[in-house]
Amino acid sequence: MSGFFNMIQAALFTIFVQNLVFNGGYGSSEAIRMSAKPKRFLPFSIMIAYFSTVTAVICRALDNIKEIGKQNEAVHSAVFGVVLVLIYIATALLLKITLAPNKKFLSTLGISAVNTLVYAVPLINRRAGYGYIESIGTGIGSGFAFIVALLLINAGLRMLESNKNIPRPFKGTPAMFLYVAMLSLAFAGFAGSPLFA
Amino acid sequence: MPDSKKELSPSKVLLFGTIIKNPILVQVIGLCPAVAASSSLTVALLLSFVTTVLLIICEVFASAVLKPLSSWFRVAVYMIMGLLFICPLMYILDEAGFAVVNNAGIYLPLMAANSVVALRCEKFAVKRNAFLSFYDALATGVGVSAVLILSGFVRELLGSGTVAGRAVFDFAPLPALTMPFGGFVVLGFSAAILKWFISAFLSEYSHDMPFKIKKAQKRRPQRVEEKAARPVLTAEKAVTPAAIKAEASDTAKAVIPDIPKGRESFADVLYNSMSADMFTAEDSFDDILAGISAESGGADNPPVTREDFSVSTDGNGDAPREEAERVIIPVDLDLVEEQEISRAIASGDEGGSAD
Repeated sequence: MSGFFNMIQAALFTIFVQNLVFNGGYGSSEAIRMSAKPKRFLPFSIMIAYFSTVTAVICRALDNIKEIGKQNEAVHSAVFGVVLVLIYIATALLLKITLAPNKKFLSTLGISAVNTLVYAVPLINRRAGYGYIESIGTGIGSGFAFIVALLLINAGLRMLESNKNIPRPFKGTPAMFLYVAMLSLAFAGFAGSPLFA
Repeated sequence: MPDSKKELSPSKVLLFGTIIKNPILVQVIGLCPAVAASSSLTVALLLSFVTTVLLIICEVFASAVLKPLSSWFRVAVYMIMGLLFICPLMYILDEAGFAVVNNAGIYLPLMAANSVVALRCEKFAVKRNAFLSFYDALATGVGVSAVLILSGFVRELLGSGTVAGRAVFDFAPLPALTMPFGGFVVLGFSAAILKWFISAFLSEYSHDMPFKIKKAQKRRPQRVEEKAARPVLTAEKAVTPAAIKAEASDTAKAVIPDIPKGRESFADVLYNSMSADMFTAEDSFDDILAGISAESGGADNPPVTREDFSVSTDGNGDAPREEAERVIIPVDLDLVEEQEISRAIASGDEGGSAD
Protein backbone atom coordinates (compact mmCIF):
# COMPACT_ATOMS: atom_id res chain seq x y z
CA MET A 1 0.00 0.00 0.00
CA SER A 2 2.81 2.38 0.88
CA GLY A 3 4.32 1.67 -2.55
CA PHE A 4 1.13 2.87 -4.19
CA PHE A 5 1.16 6.07 -2.16
CA ASN A 6 4.81 6.62 -3.00
CA MET A 7 3.91 6.34 -6.66
CA ILE A 8 1.02 8.81 -6.32
CA GLN A 9 3.25 11.15 -4.36
CA ALA A 10 5.94 11.06 -7.05
CA ALA A 11 3.31 11.62 -9.75
CA LEU A 12 1.73 14.59 -7.94
CA PHE A 13 5.17 16.06 -7.30
CA THR A 14 5.97 15.78 -11.01
CA ILE A 15 2.67 17.34 -12.06
CA PHE A 16 2.28 20.26 -9.70
CA VAL A 17 5.52 21.01 -7.89
CA GLN A 18 8.23 20.00 -10.33
CA ASN A 19 6.11 20.48 -13.46
CA LEU A 20 8.66 19.40 -16.01
CA VAL A 21 7.35 21.69 -18.75
CA PHE A 22 7.24 24.94 -16.77
CA ASN A 23 9.93 24.35 -14.16
CA GLY A 24 12.40 22.49 -16.32
CA GLY A 25 11.51 23.64 -19.81
CA TYR A 26 11.44 19.99 -20.96
CA GLY A 27 9.18 19.46 -23.93
CA SER A 28 8.15 23.11 -23.84
CA SER A 29 8.25 23.54 -27.61
CA GLU A 30 6.01 20.47 -28.06
CA ALA A 31 3.66 21.79 -25.37
CA ILE A 32 3.37 25.23 -26.95
CA ARG A 33 2.96 23.93 -30.48
CA MET A 34 0.49 21.24 -29.43
CA SER A 35 -1.57 23.64 -27.29
CA ALA A 36 -3.07 25.07 -30.47
CA LYS A 37 -4.45 21.64 -31.41
CA PRO A 38 -6.99 20.71 -28.71
CA LYS A 39 -8.11 17.54 -30.50
CA ARG A 40 -4.68 15.98 -30.02
CA PHE A 41 -4.25 16.82 -26.31
CA LEU A 42 -5.31 13.50 -24.88
CA PRO A 43 -3.68 11.06 -27.33
CA PHE A 44 -0.42 12.98 -27.26
CA SER A 45 -0.35 13.11 -23.45
CA ILE A 46 -1.14 9.41 -23.21
CA MET A 47 1.72 8.65 -25.60
CA ILE A 48 4.06 10.82 -23.51
CA ALA A 49 2.99 9.05 -20.31
CA TYR A 50 3.45 5.65 -21.96
CA PHE A 51 6.93 6.34 -23.32
CA SER A 52 8.06 8.07 -20.11
CA THR A 53 6.88 5.26 -17.86
CA VAL A 54 8.20 2.38 -19.93
CA THR A 55 11.54 4.09 -20.54
CA ALA A 56 11.89 5.05 -16.87
CA VAL A 57 11.21 1.52 -15.64
CA ILE A 58 13.55 -0.17 -18.13
CA CYS A 59 16.30 2.36 -17.46
CA ARG A 60 15.85 1.83 -13.73
CA ALA A 61 16.26 -1.91 -14.27
CA LEU A 62 19.39 -1.34 -16.36
CA ASP A 63 20.83 0.85 -13.62
CA ASN A 64 20.79 -2.18 -11.33
CA ILE A 65 23.28 -3.93 -13.59
CA LYS A 66 26.70 -3.33 -12.05
CA GLU A 67 28.52 -2.75 -15.32
CA ILE A 68 26.11 0.00 -16.29
CA GLY A 69 25.49 1.41 -12.81
CA LYS A 70 29.13 2.27 -12.21
CA GLN A 71 29.56 4.11 -15.53
CA ASN A 72 29.67 7.89 -15.80
CA GLU A 73 26.95 10.28 -17.01
CA ALA A 74 27.87 10.07 -20.70
CA VAL A 75 27.47 6.30 -20.83
CA HIS A 76 24.21 6.44 -18.93
CA SER A 77 22.86 9.06 -21.30
CA ALA A 78 23.79 6.93 -24.29
CA VAL A 79 22.22 3.78 -22.81
CA PHE A 80 19.01 5.57 -21.82
CA GLY A 81 18.77 7.20 -25.22
CA VAL A 82 19.16 3.89 -27.01
CA VAL A 83 16.50 2.35 -24.74
CA LEU A 84 14.09 5.14 -25.64
CA VAL A 85 14.76 4.68 -29.36
CA LEU A 86 14.27 0.93 -29.13
CA ILE A 87 11.00 1.33 -27.24
CA TYR A 88 9.81 3.79 -29.86
CA ILE A 89 10.71 1.50 -32.76
CA ALA A 90 9.13 -1.52 -31.06
CA THR A 91 5.93 0.40 -30.35
CA ALA A 92 5.73 1.81 -33.86
CA LEU A 93 6.28 -1.63 -35.40
CA LEU A 94 3.70 -3.22 -33.13
CA LEU A 95 1.15 -0.56 -34.02
CA LYS A 96 1.96 -0.87 -37.72
CA ILE A 97 1.33 -4.61 -37.62
CA THR A 98 -1.81 -4.57 -35.51
CA LEU A 99 -3.59 -1.30 -36.29
CA ALA A 100 -1.92 -0.10 -39.49
CA PRO A 101 -2.05 3.55 -38.41
CA ASN A 102 -1.80 6.36 -40.93
CA LYS A 103 1.25 8.56 -41.46
CA LYS A 104 -0.07 11.37 -39.29
CA PHE A 105 -0.47 9.07 -36.32
CA LEU A 106 3.05 7.70 -36.74
CA SER A 107 4.39 11.22 -37.02
CA THR A 108 2.65 12.16 -33.75
CA LEU A 109 4.02 9.01 -32.18
CA GLY A 110 7.53 10.03 -33.23
CA ILE A 111 7.19 13.52 -31.76
CA SER A 112 5.75 12.16 -28.52
CA ALA A 113 8.57 9.62 -28.12
CA VAL A 114 11.63 11.53 -29.25
CA ASN A 115 11.48 14.71 -27.22
CA THR A 116 13.32 16.22 -24.31
CA LEU A 117 10.51 15.56 -21.81
CA VAL A 118 10.45 11.78 -22.27
CA TYR A 119 14.23 11.51 -22.46
CA ALA A 120 14.65 13.67 -19.34
CA VAL A 121 12.50 11.44 -17.11
CA PRO A 122 14.98 8.52 -16.69
CA LEU A 123 17.89 10.95 -16.36
CA ILE A 124 16.09 12.90 -13.62
CA ASN A 125 15.06 9.67 -11.89
CA ARG A 126 18.65 8.52 -11.80
CA ARG A 127 19.86 11.82 -10.34
CA ALA A 128 17.08 11.77 -7.76
CA GLY A 129 17.85 8.14 -6.87
CA TYR A 130 14.27 7.01 -7.47
CA GLY A 131 13.28 3.35 -7.22
CA TYR A 132 10.88 1.45 -9.48
CA ILE A 133 7.70 2.76 -7.86
CA GLU A 134 8.78 6.39 -7.99
CA SER A 135 9.97 5.91 -11.57
CA ILE A 136 6.50 4.76 -12.57
CA GLY A 137 5.05 7.72 -10.69
CA THR A 138 7.25 10.25 -12.48
CA GLY A 139 6.54 8.56 -15.83
CA ILE A 140 2.78 8.80 -15.40
CA GLY A 141 3.16 12.23 -13.80
CA SER A 142 5.06 13.56 -16.78
CA GLY A 143 2.10 12.71 -19.02
CA PHE A 144 -0.30 14.49 -16.67
CA ALA A 145 2.12 17.40 -16.27
CA PHE A 146 2.13 17.73 -20.02
CA ILE A 147 -1.65 17.81 -20.26
CA VAL A 148 -1.82 20.39 -17.45
CA ALA A 149 0.64 22.49 -19.42
CA LEU A 150 -1.39 22.06 -22.61
CA LEU A 151 -4.63 23.11 -20.95
CA LEU A 152 -3.10 26.14 -19.28
CA ILE A 153 -1.33 27.32 -22.43
CA ASN A 154 -4.44 26.71 -24.53
CA ALA A 155 -6.55 28.79 -22.14
CA GLY A 156 -4.00 31.59 -22.39
CA LEU A 157 -3.90 31.39 -26.17
CA ARG A 158 -7.66 31.89 -26.32
CA MET A 159 -7.40 35.00 -24.16
CA LEU A 160 -4.46 36.36 -26.14
CA GLU A 161 -6.30 35.76 -29.40
CA SER A 162 -9.28 37.84 -28.29
CA ASN A 163 -7.23 40.59 -26.62
CA LYS A 164 -7.12 43.68 -28.84
CA ASN A 165 -4.92 45.74 -26.48
CA ILE A 166 -1.67 43.89 -27.11
CA PRO A 167 0.90 46.12 -28.88
CA ARG A 168 1.53 44.99 -32.46
CA PRO A 169 5.15 43.76 -32.01
CA PHE A 170 4.02 41.56 -29.13
CA LYS A 171 1.04 40.01 -30.89
CA GLY A 172 1.26 36.27 -31.51
CA THR A 173 4.35 34.36 -30.47
CA PRO A 174 5.99 37.07 -28.26
CA ALA A 175 2.84 37.45 -26.13
CA MET A 176 2.56 33.71 -25.88
CA PHE A 177 6.16 33.45 -24.62
CA LEU A 178 5.46 36.05 -21.94
CA TYR A 179 2.27 34.26 -20.92
CA VAL A 180 4.15 30.97 -20.53
CA ALA A 181 6.76 32.88 -18.51
CA MET A 182 4.03 33.88 -16.05
CA LEU A 183 2.93 30.26 -15.75
CA SER A 184 6.51 29.19 -15.22
CA LEU A 185 6.85 31.80 -12.48
CA ALA A 186 3.71 30.48 -10.80
CA PHE A 187 4.99 26.92 -10.80
CA ALA A 188 8.36 28.11 -9.52
CA GLY A 189 6.42 29.58 -6.61
CA PHE A 190 4.84 26.16 -5.98
CA ALA A 191 8.29 24.60 -5.94
CA GLY A 192 9.44 27.21 -3.40
CA SER A 193 12.18 28.67 -5.57
CA PRO A 194 13.65 31.92 -4.21
CA LEU A 195 12.85 34.56 -6.82
CA PHE A 196 14.43 37.68 -5.40
CA ALA A 197 16.90 36.38 -2.83
CA MET B 1 12.01 28.55 -44.88
CA PRO B 2 10.88 29.66 -48.30
CA ASP B 3 8.05 27.48 -49.46
CA SER B 4 8.71 27.46 -53.17
CA LYS B 5 11.59 25.30 -54.31
CA LYS B 6 12.17 27.59 -57.30
CA GLU B 7 12.99 30.56 -55.10
CA LEU B 8 15.62 28.73 -53.07
CA SER B 9 19.16 30.00 -53.13
CA PRO B 10 21.86 29.65 -50.46
CA SER B 11 21.61 33.32 -49.49
CA LYS B 12 17.85 33.13 -49.16
CA VAL B 13 18.07 29.93 -47.13
CA LEU B 14 20.53 31.68 -44.80
CA LEU B 15 18.30 34.76 -44.46
CA PHE B 16 15.22 32.71 -43.72
CA GLY B 17 16.95 30.28 -41.33
CA THR B 18 18.56 32.92 -39.20
CA ILE B 19 16.06 35.81 -39.17
CA ILE B 20 12.78 35.52 -41.04
CA LYS B 21 11.94 32.03 -39.80
CA ASN B 22 14.16 31.89 -36.74
CA PRO B 23 13.66 28.38 -35.32
CA ILE B 24 13.22 29.46 -31.71
CA LEU B 25 11.61 32.90 -31.92
CA VAL B 26 9.33 32.30 -34.90
CA GLN B 27 8.92 28.56 -35.37
CA VAL B 28 8.88 27.86 -31.60
CA ILE B 29 11.05 24.74 -31.80
CA GLY B 30 14.03 23.71 -29.67
CA LEU B 31 12.94 25.76 -26.68
CA CYS B 32 14.29 23.44 -24.00
CA PRO B 33 17.94 24.56 -24.15
CA ALA B 34 16.96 28.19 -24.75
CA VAL B 35 14.61 28.31 -21.78
CA ALA B 36 16.31 26.19 -19.18
CA ALA B 37 19.95 25.65 -19.99
CA SER B 38 21.08 29.00 -21.33
CA SER B 39 21.33 30.68 -17.95
CA SER B 40 25.06 31.17 -18.43
CA LEU B 41 27.09 32.26 -21.42
CA THR B 42 29.55 29.33 -21.40
CA VAL B 43 26.76 26.75 -21.35
CA ALA B 44 24.98 28.66 -24.11
CA LEU B 45 28.17 28.60 -26.21
CA LEU B 46 28.58 24.85 -25.70
CA LEU B 47 24.95 24.15 -26.58
CA SER B 48 25.18 26.42 -29.64
CA PHE B 49 28.22 24.53 -30.91
CA VAL B 50 26.54 21.16 -30.31
CA THR B 51 23.29 22.23 -31.99
CA THR B 52 24.98 23.65 -35.08
CA VAL B 53 27.30 20.69 -35.66
CA LEU B 54 24.51 18.20 -34.99
CA LEU B 55 22.21 20.00 -37.40
CA ILE B 56 24.83 19.97 -40.14
CA ILE B 57 25.61 16.27 -39.66
CA CYS B 58 21.97 15.19 -39.47
CA GLU B 59 20.62 17.36 -42.30
CA VAL B 60 23.36 16.45 -44.76
CA PHE B 61 23.10 12.77 -43.85
CA ALA B 62 19.30 12.85 -44.05
CA SER B 63 19.42 14.54 -47.43
CA ALA B 64 22.05 12.21 -48.86
CA VAL B 65 21.17 8.85 -47.32
CA LEU B 66 17.93 8.72 -45.38
CA LYS B 67 15.43 9.71 -48.07
CA PRO B 68 14.36 6.12 -48.89
CA LEU B 69 13.48 5.35 -45.25
CA SER B 70 10.05 5.90 -43.75
CA SER B 71 9.51 9.13 -41.87
CA TRP B 72 8.73 7.42 -38.55
CA PHE B 73 11.98 5.47 -38.71
CA ARG B 74 14.08 8.48 -39.64
CA VAL B 75 13.09 10.18 -36.37
CA ALA B 76 14.77 7.33 -34.48
CA VAL B 77 17.86 7.61 -36.68
CA TYR B 78 18.20 11.33 -35.88
CA MET B 79 18.24 10.58 -32.17
CA ILE B 80 20.80 7.80 -32.57
CA MET B 81 22.99 10.19 -34.58
CA GLY B 82 22.63 12.78 -31.85
CA LEU B 83 23.68 10.27 -29.21
CA LEU B 84 26.63 9.15 -31.32
CA PHE B 85 27.85 12.74 -31.50
CA ILE B 86 26.98 14.07 -28.05
CA CYS B 87 27.82 11.20 -25.71
CA PRO B 88 31.45 10.76 -26.84
CA LEU B 89 31.88 14.56 -26.77
CA MET B 90 30.45 14.62 -23.26
CA TYR B 91 32.76 11.80 -22.23
CA ILE B 92 35.85 13.52 -23.62
CA LEU B 93 35.01 16.91 -22.08
CA ASP B 94 34.22 15.27 -18.76
CA GLU B 95 37.47 13.32 -18.74
CA ALA B 96 39.39 16.48 -19.69
CA GLY B 97 37.90 18.20 -16.66
CA PHE B 98 35.80 20.89 -18.32
CA ALA B 99 33.34 22.15 -15.71
CA VAL B 100 30.94 23.33 -18.42
CA VAL B 101 29.73 19.74 -18.88
CA ASN B 102 28.60 19.63 -15.26
CA ASN B 103 27.06 23.10 -15.56
CA ALA B 104 25.07 21.99 -18.60
CA GLY B 105 23.76 19.02 -16.58
CA ILE B 106 21.31 16.76 -18.35
CA TYR B 107 20.61 19.41 -20.97
CA LEU B 108 23.68 18.40 -22.98
CA PRO B 109 22.54 14.81 -23.67
CA LEU B 110 18.99 16.11 -24.13
CA MET B 111 20.19 17.88 -27.26
CA ALA B 112 20.06 14.47 -28.96
CA ALA B 113 16.26 14.62 -28.67
CA ASN B 114 16.03 18.28 -29.63
CA SER B 115 13.05 18.96 -31.86
CA VAL B 116 15.03 21.41 -34.03
CA VAL B 117 17.07 18.61 -35.56
CA ALA B 118 14.19 16.25 -36.31
CA LEU B 119 11.91 19.00 -37.63
CA ARG B 120 14.46 20.65 -39.92
CA CYS B 121 15.54 17.28 -41.28
CA GLU B 122 11.95 16.25 -41.97
CA LYS B 123 10.70 19.58 -43.27
CA PHE B 124 13.71 20.53 -45.34
CA ALA B 125 16.57 18.07 -45.70
CA VAL B 126 14.70 15.00 -46.92
CA LYS B 127 13.03 17.10 -49.64
CA ARG B 128 16.13 18.85 -50.94
CA ASN B 129 19.70 18.13 -51.97
CA ALA B 130 22.65 17.92 -49.59
CA PHE B 131 24.05 21.30 -50.71
CA LEU B 132 20.94 23.26 -49.75
CA SER B 133 20.49 21.14 -46.65
CA PHE B 134 23.96 22.14 -45.51
CA TYR B 135 23.03 25.82 -45.87
CA ASP B 136 19.76 25.27 -44.06
CA ALA B 137 21.53 23.48 -41.21
CA LEU B 138 24.07 26.28 -41.00
CA ALA B 139 21.38 28.94 -41.05
CA THR B 140 19.24 27.17 -38.48
CA GLY B 141 22.30 26.59 -36.32
CA VAL B 142 23.25 30.26 -36.50
CA GLY B 143 19.65 31.25 -35.74
CA VAL B 144 19.50 28.98 -32.70
CA SER B 145 22.99 29.98 -31.55
CA ALA B 146 22.20 33.70 -31.76
CA VAL B 147 19.19 33.28 -29.50
CA LEU B 148 21.01 30.96 -27.08
CA ILE B 149 24.01 33.25 -26.76
CA LEU B 150 21.88 36.38 -26.35
CA SER B 151 19.74 34.63 -23.77
CA GLY B 152 22.78 33.26 -21.96
CA PHE B 153 24.47 36.66 -21.87
CA VAL B 154 21.42 38.60 -20.64
CA ARG B 155 20.37 36.00 -18.09
CA GLU B 156 23.83 35.52 -16.64
CA LEU B 157 24.48 39.25 -16.49
CA LEU B 158 21.18 40.16 -14.83
CA GLY B 159 20.58 36.90 -13.00
CA SER B 160 24.04 36.29 -11.55
CA GLY B 161 25.83 39.58 -12.15
CA THR B 162 28.60 37.85 -14.14
CA VAL B 163 29.61 37.25 -17.76
CA ALA B 164 31.28 33.92 -18.55
CA GLY B 165 31.95 33.50 -14.84
CA ARG B 166 33.64 36.90 -14.39
CA ALA B 167 31.98 39.30 -11.98
CA VAL B 168 30.48 42.42 -13.53
CA PHE B 169 28.20 43.53 -10.70
CA ASP B 170 28.71 43.04 -6.98
CA PHE B 171 25.19 41.75 -6.74
CA ALA B 172 22.68 39.85 -8.84
CA PRO B 173 20.07 42.36 -10.07
CA LEU B 174 17.38 39.84 -11.10
CA PRO B 175 18.15 36.33 -9.80
CA ALA B 176 14.83 34.99 -11.10
CA LEU B 177 16.14 35.32 -14.65
CA THR B 178 18.32 32.25 -14.17
CA MET B 179 15.15 30.16 -13.86
CA PRO B 180 13.10 28.95 -16.86
CA PHE B 181 10.81 31.89 -16.18
CA GLY B 182 13.67 34.20 -17.16
CA GLY B 183 14.27 32.20 -20.30
CA PHE B 184 10.68 32.67 -21.46
CA VAL B 185 10.78 36.39 -20.65
CA VAL B 186 13.98 36.89 -22.66
CA LEU B 187 12.50 34.89 -25.54
CA GLY B 188 9.29 36.95 -25.45
CA PHE B 189 11.11 40.26 -25.69
CA SER B 190 13.57 38.91 -28.27
CA ALA B 191 10.67 37.69 -30.44
CA ALA B 192 9.01 41.12 -30.20
CA ILE B 193 12.24 42.87 -31.17
CA LEU B 194 12.74 40.47 -34.10
CA LYS B 195 9.20 41.09 -35.27
CA TRP B 196 9.70 44.84 -35.14
CA PHE B 197 13.06 44.49 -36.97
CA ILE B 198 11.52 42.43 -39.77
CA SER B 199 8.60 44.82 -40.23
CA ALA B 200 10.94 47.84 -40.20
CA PHE B 201 13.84 46.62 -42.36
CA LEU B 202 12.61 43.53 -44.17
CA SER B 203 9.04 44.60 -44.74
CA GLU B 204 8.60 42.29 -47.76
CA TYR B 205 8.95 39.35 -45.36
CA SER B 206 6.89 40.89 -42.56
CA HIS B 207 4.35 38.60 -41.00
CA ASP B 208 2.18 38.60 -37.94
CA MET B 209 3.71 35.56 -36.22
CA PRO B 210 0.25 34.13 -35.80
CA PHE B 211 -0.42 31.51 -33.19
CA LYS B 212 -3.97 30.48 -33.93
CA ILE B 213 -5.88 27.72 -32.24
CA LYS B 214 -7.01 25.12 -34.72
CA LYS B 215 -10.74 24.74 -34.47
CA ALA B 216 -12.58 21.60 -35.45
CA GLN B 217 -14.14 22.02 -38.88
CA LYS B 218 -17.90 22.08 -38.86
CA ARG B 219 -19.63 19.67 -41.17
CA ARG B 220 -21.28 21.33 -44.12
CA PRO B 221 -25.03 20.75 -43.96
CA GLN B 222 -26.03 18.33 -46.68
CA ARG B 223 -28.20 19.80 -49.35
CA VAL B 224 -31.54 18.27 -50.23
CA GLU B 225 -30.57 17.87 -53.90
CA GLU B 226 -27.39 16.01 -52.96
CA LYS B 227 -29.36 13.62 -50.83
CA ALA B 228 -31.90 13.04 -53.60
CA ALA B 229 -29.17 12.38 -56.17
CA ARG B 230 -27.62 9.57 -54.14
CA PRO B 231 -28.64 6.00 -54.93
CA VAL B 232 -30.86 4.78 -52.13
CA LEU B 233 -30.34 1.34 -50.68
CA THR B 234 -33.73 -0.28 -50.55
CA ALA B 235 -34.67 -3.55 -48.96
CA GLU B 236 -33.83 -5.17 -52.28
CA LYS B 237 -30.39 -3.54 -52.24
CA ALA B 238 -29.13 -1.30 -54.99
CA VAL B 239 -26.65 -3.15 -57.15
CA THR B 240 -23.87 -0.62 -57.40
CA PRO B 241 -20.15 -1.23 -56.88
CA ALA B 242 -20.40 0.49 -53.48
CA ALA B 243 -23.32 -1.67 -52.42
CA ILE B 244 -21.52 -4.82 -53.53
CA LYS B 245 -18.45 -3.77 -51.59
CA ALA B 246 -20.53 -3.05 -48.51
CA GLU B 247 -22.21 -6.43 -48.79
CA ALA B 248 -18.90 -8.20 -49.23
CA SER B 249 -17.51 -6.27 -46.28
CA ASP B 250 -20.41 -7.35 -44.06
CA THR B 251 -19.92 -10.95 -45.12
CA ALA B 252 -16.21 -10.78 -44.44
CA LYS B 253 -16.78 -9.14 -41.07
CA ALA B 254 -19.08 -11.97 -40.10
CA VAL B 255 -16.30 -14.44 -40.89
CA ILE B 256 -13.38 -12.36 -39.61
CA PRO B 257 -14.68 -10.06 -36.87
CA ASP B 258 -11.55 -7.94 -36.36
CA ILE B 259 -10.46 -6.38 -39.59
CA PRO B 260 -7.60 -3.96 -38.89
CA LYS B 261 -8.49 -0.38 -39.74
CA GLY B 262 -6.73 1.34 -42.60
CA ARG B 263 -5.53 -1.87 -44.23
CA GLU B 264 -6.92 -3.59 -47.26
CA SER B 265 -9.50 -5.75 -45.61
CA PHE B 266 -10.56 -9.23 -46.58
CA ALA B 267 -13.68 -7.63 -48.03
CA ASP B 268 -11.58 -5.41 -50.28
CA VAL B 269 -9.54 -8.35 -51.51
CA LEU B 270 -12.68 -10.38 -52.08
CA TYR B 271 -14.42 -7.60 -53.94
CA ASN B 272 -11.42 -6.77 -56.10
CA SER B 273 -10.81 -10.39 -57.04
CA MET B 274 -14.47 -10.99 -57.74
CA SER B 275 -14.97 -8.03 -59.97
CA ALA B 276 -11.68 -8.66 -61.77
CA ASP B 277 -12.30 -12.33 -62.42
CA MET B 278 -15.97 -12.34 -63.17
CA PHE B 279 -16.81 -9.35 -65.28
CA THR B 280 -15.21 -6.59 -67.19
CA ALA B 281 -16.40 -3.04 -67.21
CA GLU B 282 -17.69 -3.52 -70.75
CA ASP B 283 -20.10 -6.30 -69.83
CA SER B 284 -23.60 -4.92 -69.78
CA PHE B 285 -26.34 -6.35 -67.67
CA ASP B 286 -28.09 -7.93 -70.65
CA ASP B 287 -24.85 -9.58 -71.85
CA ILE B 288 -24.43 -11.18 -68.45
CA LEU B 289 -28.03 -12.35 -68.34
CA ALA B 290 -27.72 -13.81 -71.82
CA GLY B 291 -24.58 -15.66 -70.80
CA ILE B 292 -26.20 -17.15 -67.71
CA SER B 293 -29.28 -18.17 -69.67
CA ALA B 294 -27.18 -19.83 -72.37
CA GLU B 295 -25.34 -21.89 -69.78
CA SER B 296 -28.18 -22.87 -67.47
CA GLY B 297 -31.13 -22.53 -69.82
CA GLY B 298 -32.75 -25.51 -71.35
CA ALA B 299 -36.16 -26.96 -71.82
CA ASP B 300 -36.65 -27.27 -68.05
CA ASN B 301 -35.18 -23.90 -67.01
CA PRO B 302 -36.70 -20.59 -67.99
CA PRO B 303 -34.28 -17.85 -69.14
CA VAL B 304 -32.80 -15.57 -66.44
CA THR B 305 -34.34 -12.11 -66.45
CA ARG B 306 -33.73 -8.79 -64.71
CA GLU B 307 -36.45 -9.53 -62.18
CA ASP B 308 -34.46 -12.47 -60.85
CA PHE B 309 -31.86 -10.06 -59.49
CA SER B 310 -34.25 -7.48 -58.00
CA VAL B 311 -32.26 -4.51 -59.22
CA SER B 312 -33.20 -1.16 -57.75
CA THR B 313 -31.05 1.94 -57.60
CA ASP B 314 -33.41 4.60 -56.48
CA GLY B 315 -36.10 4.86 -53.91
CA ASN B 316 -38.09 7.05 -56.25
CA GLY B 317 -38.48 4.27 -58.76
CA ASP B 318 -36.30 5.87 -61.43
CA ALA B 319 -34.61 3.75 -64.07
CA PRO B 320 -31.35 2.10 -63.00
CA ARG B 321 -28.30 4.22 -63.62
CA GLU B 322 -25.82 3.33 -66.34
CA GLU B 323 -23.05 2.75 -63.77
CA ALA B 324 -25.25 0.39 -61.84
CA GLU B 325 -25.90 -1.62 -64.95
CA ARG B 326 -22.30 -2.06 -65.95
CA VAL B 327 -21.07 -4.04 -62.95
CA ILE B 328 -23.60 -6.49 -61.66
CA ILE B 329 -22.82 -9.13 -59.12
CA PRO B 330 -25.59 -11.11 -57.45
CA VAL B 331 -24.49 -10.39 -53.92
CA ASP B 332 -26.82 -12.81 -52.20
CA LEU B 333 -25.16 -15.82 -53.79
CA ASP B 334 -22.28 -17.54 -52.12
CA LEU B 335 -18.84 -17.64 -53.64
CA VAL B 336 -19.18 -21.10 -55.22
CA GLU B 337 -22.28 -20.06 -57.09
CA GLU B 338 -20.62 -16.86 -58.17
CA GLN B 339 -17.68 -18.77 -59.59
CA GLU B 340 -20.08 -21.02 -61.47
CA ILE B 341 -21.81 -18.00 -62.89
CA SER B 342 -18.46 -16.55 -63.80
CA ARG B 343 -17.55 -19.64 -65.78
CA ALA B 344 -21.00 -19.62 -67.34
CA ILE B 345 -20.57 -16.05 -68.46
CA ALA B 346 -17.16 -16.78 -69.89
CA SER B 347 -18.43 -19.71 -71.92
CA GLY B 348 -21.54 -17.75 -72.90
CA ASP B 349 -19.45 -14.87 -74.22
CA GLU B 350 -17.38 -17.24 -76.24
CA GLY B 351 -20.52 -18.77 -77.65
CA GLY B 352 -21.96 -15.37 -78.47
CA SER B 353 -18.90 -14.26 -80.34
CA ALA B 354 -18.83 -17.51 -82.26
CA ASP B 355 -22.38 -16.90 -83.35
